Amino acid sequence: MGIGFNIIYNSTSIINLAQGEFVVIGGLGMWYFLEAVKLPFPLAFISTIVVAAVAGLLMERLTIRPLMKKLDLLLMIMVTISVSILIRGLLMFKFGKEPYTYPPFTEGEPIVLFGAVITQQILWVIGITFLSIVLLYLFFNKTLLGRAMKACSIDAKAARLMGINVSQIVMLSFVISAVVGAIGGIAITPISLMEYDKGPMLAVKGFCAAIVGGLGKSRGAVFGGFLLGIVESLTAGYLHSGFKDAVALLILLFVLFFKPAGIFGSKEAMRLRKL
Amino acid sequence: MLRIKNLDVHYGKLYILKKVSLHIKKGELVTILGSNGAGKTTLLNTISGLIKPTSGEIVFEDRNITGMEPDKIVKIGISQVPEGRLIFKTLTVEENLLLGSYHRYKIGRKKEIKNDMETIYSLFPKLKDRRKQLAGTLSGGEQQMLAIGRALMSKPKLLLLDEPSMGVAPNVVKEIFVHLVELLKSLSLTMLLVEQNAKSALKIAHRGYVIETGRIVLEGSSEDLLSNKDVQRAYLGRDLDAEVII
Ligand SMILES: Nc1ncnc2c1ncn2[C@@H]1O[C@H](COP(=O)(O)OP(=O)(O)OP(=O)(O)O)[C@@H](O)[C@H]1O
Ligand SMILES: [Mg+2]
Repeated sequence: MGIGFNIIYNSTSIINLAQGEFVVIGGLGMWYFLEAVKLPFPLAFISTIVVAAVAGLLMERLTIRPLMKKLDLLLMIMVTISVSILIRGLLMFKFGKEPYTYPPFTEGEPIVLFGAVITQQILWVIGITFLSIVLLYLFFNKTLLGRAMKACSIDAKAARLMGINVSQIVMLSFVISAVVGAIGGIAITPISLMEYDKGPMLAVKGFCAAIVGGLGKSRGAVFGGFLLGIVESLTAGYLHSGFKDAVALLILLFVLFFKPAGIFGSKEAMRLRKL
Repeated sequence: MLRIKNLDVHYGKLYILKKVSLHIKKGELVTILGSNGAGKTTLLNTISGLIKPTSGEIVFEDRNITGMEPDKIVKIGISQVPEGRLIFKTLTVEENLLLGSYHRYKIGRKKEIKNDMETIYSLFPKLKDRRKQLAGTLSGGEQQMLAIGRALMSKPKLLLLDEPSMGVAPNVVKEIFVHLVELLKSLSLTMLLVEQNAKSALKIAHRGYVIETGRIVLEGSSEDLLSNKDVQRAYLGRDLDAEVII
């Protein structure tokens, strides 16, 4: 989730507040193809990814692209909010308000590690997360296309002068982040259920994870995510589970106050970005 | 090589470039002089395709490129070193150069691009020592060299330079101008150099144009312009830089 924010931020400096909806699309889409259409797992997975990719593409083409000329970041960020509301409406129309789930990827006994019970699905989630980070790290730092994406966010005009087609790159970044978000949704739904309006909550947490770890850094986002998860469950355990969701916001404020570059974010990069 | 005819450019309702016509021959270094707000940057950005002209024609090597998209224009061999350098500050020096070769990067071309990068490093040895450094940590002069190197990585035939002396120490300006003359010869480039530093620019250029509030008001060989009374009064009097030694 946090990673998804970073992809779009990396290539456009836009914070996509509809990122949570991509995760929901992943979870609900997977349920639909798996349980309603009764496709086999791999096919359902691929179909869901395709749906999410198309959603990301449409979102970029229909809302972000027409605004790109105005170069008003705040406006674009607000537009992402309205897109998120729209997607939520469509999802509710299709799926109703009840939560959905499907069986874990693999059947089998949970593993007991240091007294904690870890289901196989959690291992899947962790594995997929790490795989995504490694792939995205390689993409942004080792491939020319990835670097071109970063270049677009640093200076779109200079990127155009390099012969980079900025509008294609922005579209690509929306598609990739939709896909990454959907994969996340597919993986977590067997654990935590998925309903049409889970997006904003996921978005806040993902955003928080991204900020805590340092915007633009995938490793940071994951670290931020874990930290957040741990603090959340401690709060739920020791204080009151009602405080759980507030914690994310508190941490967010705290980090923005004291370490705006994030825990992993280099001060240098932050400073250079502003210059 | 490049021929511009009656170019009109508007920003909304503002009439910025007014019937601009000019030409550049292969192998020439042509300079455009003009004070702040004269429309120099607008002209270069229109050639690069960032701004669409309202009327007029830009022809490059017998090809009408008026209104073409910037990525196509880079592909056919026109590259710009933009005003204010606009290097990618949070990427490394090497990544900046690599992005310069974006349009011709294909699998199997890696080696060729690596070689070109070495050529750039041999032209600007300072960049080589700092290849892994973030570009934003370079000095103004080094950033300008990086911007030039990055533009050269696209293997242009025509290089557009927008005020390369801006924000650079005077002795480094000299160094950069010497480099430009070298490039002109060694890479058989053609250059269009926009400058406010009139004296230095005319010293290295073959010909020049003077632009005032969007209109070309004067053109001629560098010698003619240097000895022209109007040019002397308007641009050379306050030219603070020492002479460029070639
Ligand atoms: N994006 C824009 N929108 C509206 N007007 C603009 C825009 N950019 C430039 N202008 C106007 O166009 C005119 C020409 O600007 P331009 O940047 O081309 O001048 P310049 O000769 O490059 O000046 P300088 O020496 O300061 O770089 C100026 O009057 C400027 O105010
Ligand atoms: Mg200018």
